[in-house]
Amino acid sequence: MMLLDGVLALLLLLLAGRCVTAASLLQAIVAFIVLGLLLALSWVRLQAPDLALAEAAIGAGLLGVLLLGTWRHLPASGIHHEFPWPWHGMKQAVSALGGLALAVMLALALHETAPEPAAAGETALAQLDAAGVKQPVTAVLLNFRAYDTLLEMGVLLMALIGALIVRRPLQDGSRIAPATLLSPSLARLFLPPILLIGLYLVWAGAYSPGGAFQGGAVLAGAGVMLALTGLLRGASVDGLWLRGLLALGAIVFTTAGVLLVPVTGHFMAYPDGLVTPLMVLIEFSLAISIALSLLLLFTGTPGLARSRP
Amino acid sequence: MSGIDPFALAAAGLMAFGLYGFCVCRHPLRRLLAINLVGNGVFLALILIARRLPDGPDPVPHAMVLTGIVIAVSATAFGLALIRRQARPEDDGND
Repeated sequence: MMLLDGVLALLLLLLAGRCVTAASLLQAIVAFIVLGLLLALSWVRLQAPDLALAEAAIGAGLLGVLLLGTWRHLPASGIHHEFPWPWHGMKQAVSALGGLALAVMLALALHETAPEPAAAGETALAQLDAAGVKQPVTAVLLNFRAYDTLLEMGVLLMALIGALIVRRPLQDGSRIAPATLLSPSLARLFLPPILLIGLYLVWAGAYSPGGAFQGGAVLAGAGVMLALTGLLRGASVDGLWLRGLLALGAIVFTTAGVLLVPVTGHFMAYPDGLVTPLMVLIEFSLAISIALSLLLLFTGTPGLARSRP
Repeated sequence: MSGIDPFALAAAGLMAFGLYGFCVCRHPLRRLLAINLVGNGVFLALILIARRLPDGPDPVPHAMVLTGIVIAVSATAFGLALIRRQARPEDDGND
């Protein structure tokens, strides 16, 4: 297996190099997407199946769609390549030396450091019974370090709001379905299994690799597929229900944390009897918000509408 | 840990290529890719450190990287929206 690790690491390095040196921007983007997929394989080899699922769905899948979507809208000949900077050769040399120095230092640091007791990780594993879920990573995300996850939902919403502000508002009816090789009937065929897999991943997060992020990303992927085939389209009007669903994760998470303060005495502490149903409730509401946020980041519109056949 | 872990080299290399790309590339989309390369290198380093716990991998760095992946994607999506607007200021959002 050492050989497989070596090949994976070598491919990661080659693709990273291709990503920064490829002559065409499209090649760089494709190298980056493939790097994401290989990184997902690396997470499996590093005993991190949760990350493998997240990387495959979010890092390689959705990010790839976003990158290619942006590439398609860039002017064909960018102004950025036309005239080289003065001192370009020296700049390259200095950057390469800096990068090399960073790499050597990091490799040494990762190699030399003696194993130290990881206090937080050991505590988390020891207290797993109190968390209400059997999967350690989900327990850390939703219970032990719930603050991080709540604020992460905030970051996701902020990014979405920022992206929507930057895009000009749509004129109604101006959006037509993009030309694609995916046929709508194929999308209809694939939709139920993808939705099922997404929901299963959310549900499975309680006891095995999976969870709100992975499941939410798969659900968002289903939405992206519908948008690409023209079954779903971005709309300039957003209903209150959509805004409600976008904020649902943060609202449920915060409400559960605040309402139980009189019972437990701490913000975001959960009483023993309620902890498991609460975790499942929070996980599903987070997944809905994540899926919708990622989908709207793709369409770049504040609302969604079904296309008229 | 005997010998050099290939993934440690990969983590170091990803960060190095990312830094190099960020300094040398001029296209904003390439710079965004380069930042993401650095991020991936950091994630890889964190997960390598997480393997040191004797009874199973440390869940705390795993959760941090999971959070990091989602935040990296949302920040990148925001950056892409900025790039699109900068490249075509007259773009009215039509696809």
